[in-house]
Amino acid sequence: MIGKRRQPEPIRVRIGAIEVEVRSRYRRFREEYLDLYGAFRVPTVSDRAIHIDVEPRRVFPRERRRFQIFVNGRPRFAPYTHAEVLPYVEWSVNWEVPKVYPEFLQLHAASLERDGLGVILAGDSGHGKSTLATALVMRGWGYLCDEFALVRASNLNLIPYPRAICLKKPSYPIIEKLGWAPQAPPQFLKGAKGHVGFVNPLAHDPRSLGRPCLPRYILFPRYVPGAVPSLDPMSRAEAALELHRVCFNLFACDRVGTNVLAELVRGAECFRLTSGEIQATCDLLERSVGRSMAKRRSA
Amino acid sequence: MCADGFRTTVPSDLARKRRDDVVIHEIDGEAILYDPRTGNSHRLNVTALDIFQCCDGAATAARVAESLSHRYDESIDVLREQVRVAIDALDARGLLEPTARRSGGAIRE
Repeated sequence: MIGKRRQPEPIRVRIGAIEVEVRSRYRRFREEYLDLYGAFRVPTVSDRAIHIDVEPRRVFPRERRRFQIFVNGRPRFAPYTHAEVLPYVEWSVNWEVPKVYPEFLQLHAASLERDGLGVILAGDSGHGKSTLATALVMRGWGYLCDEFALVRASNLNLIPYPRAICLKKPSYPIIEKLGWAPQAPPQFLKGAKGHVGFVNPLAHDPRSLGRPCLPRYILFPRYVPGAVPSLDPMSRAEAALELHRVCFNLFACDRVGTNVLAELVRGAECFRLTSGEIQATCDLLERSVGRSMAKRRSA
Repeated sequence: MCADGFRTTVPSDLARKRRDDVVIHEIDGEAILYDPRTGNSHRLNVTALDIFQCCDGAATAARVAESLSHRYDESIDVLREQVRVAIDALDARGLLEPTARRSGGAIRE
């Protein structure tokens, strides 16, 4: 008699404020997930945890979809290939965060901490947020989050959600030149982004996790190849409008959400950042942000 | 068609009322208006905010221009045109609602 295959123990992780439970019989995916989040493993998670199931599908030979991702028991994505599974799992978790954790406003931004004060790098995809965030973490800035900055609505604090940073293939040589050897090559496929890889900044230095902090610097970076890096001040209203645009759950939070964003810009300095060569851009930020923060602290 | 390309839809002698559900945040002399119906946000300078605040459902564009003439150093004709353009732009963005009251005070169906 053939017995039922035993379901492996779920992978339970607490990634900063977010709890996730992943179940899968698919060993290769489990190994990749643990490579990224093994350090965040916990024995148990609370009832609020986001449950992800990943199952390879037995299908007719002509059907192309080979995997199914379930989020809290409901089918969400059906990736075609193994290379798409991890990116879609990451995306599934991100989609679920605003529903499960409505206390947070979720911005399309990277968030960092420098000497107890928060920095937001906000903007659309392809503007170099993740590469810049990675480079700054390598210089000792505290890592809070990439791509989905969480702001606690009740006190405006940026909350650590140190998910793996998703880097596009062209970013790899840049961070390798800075002296960081990523754990794996960019072997995954993520929609329009093409080949991507995931790097865990805490693997580079476990002490690089940032602490919850108030955002004092809001930057909107735009990568221009060959440009001399520059910071151009922008009005707080303009910054608020941009934040409205990159906020994922403003519609759900409505009045509270707009209040939070208005308060966020009132307490921060806001700039458009033209970024060029990565070291020069980091130098500029260290000088400007460092100076401004020193002034703020002495005040 | 008004200056920024939005089509004028409401006659200029019709009083407009700002929508009560629009959330206003004044930040450093400018304002961000959030429209909960559409989820869109709009940025207004101080003059446009003044005009928006004046749209109480009773004042026409001409009357708004008149009330602003005390605050701004502009001729009433220039102001009237600017107010009309601003009201058209606010209207095109769905931030105002027309009222039935005309400048003469008559109520229309």
